[in-house]
Amino acid sequence: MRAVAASDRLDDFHSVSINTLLPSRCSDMDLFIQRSTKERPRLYRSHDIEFDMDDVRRLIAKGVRTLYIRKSDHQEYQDQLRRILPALLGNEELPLSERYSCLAEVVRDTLATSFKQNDISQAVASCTDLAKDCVRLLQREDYTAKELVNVLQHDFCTFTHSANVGLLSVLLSRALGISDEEELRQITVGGLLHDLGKQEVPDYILTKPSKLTEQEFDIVKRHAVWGYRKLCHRNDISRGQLMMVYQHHERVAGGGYPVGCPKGDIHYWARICTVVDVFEALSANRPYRRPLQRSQLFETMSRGENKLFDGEILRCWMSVMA
Amino acid sequence: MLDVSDGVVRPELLQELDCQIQLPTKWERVYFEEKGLQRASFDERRRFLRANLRTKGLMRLRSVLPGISRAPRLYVIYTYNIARAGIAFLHSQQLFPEEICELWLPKSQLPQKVMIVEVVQCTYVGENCYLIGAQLIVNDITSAETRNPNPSLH
Repeated sequence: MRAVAASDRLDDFHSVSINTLLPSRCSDMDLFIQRSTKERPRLYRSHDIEFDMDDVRRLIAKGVRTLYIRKSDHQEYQDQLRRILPALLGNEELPLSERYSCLAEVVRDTLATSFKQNDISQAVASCTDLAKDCVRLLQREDYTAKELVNVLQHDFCTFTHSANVGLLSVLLSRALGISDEEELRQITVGGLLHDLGKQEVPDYILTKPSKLTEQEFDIVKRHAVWGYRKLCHRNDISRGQLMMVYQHHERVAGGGYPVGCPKGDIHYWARICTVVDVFEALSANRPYRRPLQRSQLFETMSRGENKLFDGEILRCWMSVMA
Repeated sequence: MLDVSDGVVRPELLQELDCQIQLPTKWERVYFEEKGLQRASFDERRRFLRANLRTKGLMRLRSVLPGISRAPRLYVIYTYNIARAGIAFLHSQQLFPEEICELWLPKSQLPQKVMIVEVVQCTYVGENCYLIGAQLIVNDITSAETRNPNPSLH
């Protein structure tokens, strides 16, 4: 473990939720804290000093939710987090919101790793594995959907968006009466993979702060087909999951892409995905706009009832989030 | 009896099968009248010109995608246009990219008897009407497997 260098900048660090820093996990890494947004993170706890639940509670009491680790430690942090995730999710002493936070962190990171490596088999296997944990935690009755939404990060990264869509798809599916665990797992995986094709869209387009040109938008629109093509020959992907990838930009009144087909030809799971996809996108901070307030968001989405969205599914989602 | 000899569609076979395609009103009268080369658009990026080809044909889907199972049955399709590397046709149902179809066209229309094509894109035209763009994989298949498209006759 190297000493803190004066040249360490914010770019050299990775923020981590303190909820994911259990004592057993951070023994090999230095922890840093940022006192103000203008300052670079400073050493909070050296790797050779124990970090325990009392520290977590003290930090929370001071309003600190995030610590930093060096980027060079990030892979190790994620590996450990994945290993202990099942135990962590089953730890009834931890508040549910903190467990959601851990789950979301792992899902987001797993997608980021798989997407960056462009390893489809790894992505599908990781998502399938994580879907079990997601469904198990989200099948509980003692939480509200709003609680989950509040702990999710919202940024413009494709993998953050995909992680959120995967988790929110489970909530909506349950509210719609889908209770079969295998079905819920499949829907989670479909949600996690729905934007897989965006790997092929150049970064300069995905992060462009101004309006896309027609040509750029044409490229973005191809992501549904590109994602579908990456998955369509796999034995471990069902028709519903494939359609979540292929049809999540179709509109129930027709006129969406890539086909423009009407409601009857759009898979039910794809219609679920469309609602949470748009909800998540409007909730997120994007390079070209700020997130919408909840009331504005619902007003905007309501205008798409029975045009963009399946009315029954949209109304169900709005009642879940109300 | 439904039959195909030498991979060539007999006219009566096309008459026997129900066609589910519903042509949009604007095409009803003129669809089968269109002939000649299709006009290229100003930003045309295709390598080869397309010629109108308006006729009935038969199509059978092969189940090649694990998530999308297809019954081995014959459908009547309407061909739309053809180019050196591909063909477009109308079908009553949505098809998906990378699905494989076998197409049989009336003998008088093309020298090829059977075409095996891969779906590239599908566009909704109207109720029970999808325009399928497909690329040619194999022309003029004469193997025993593909000579007769009616599975019940194998």
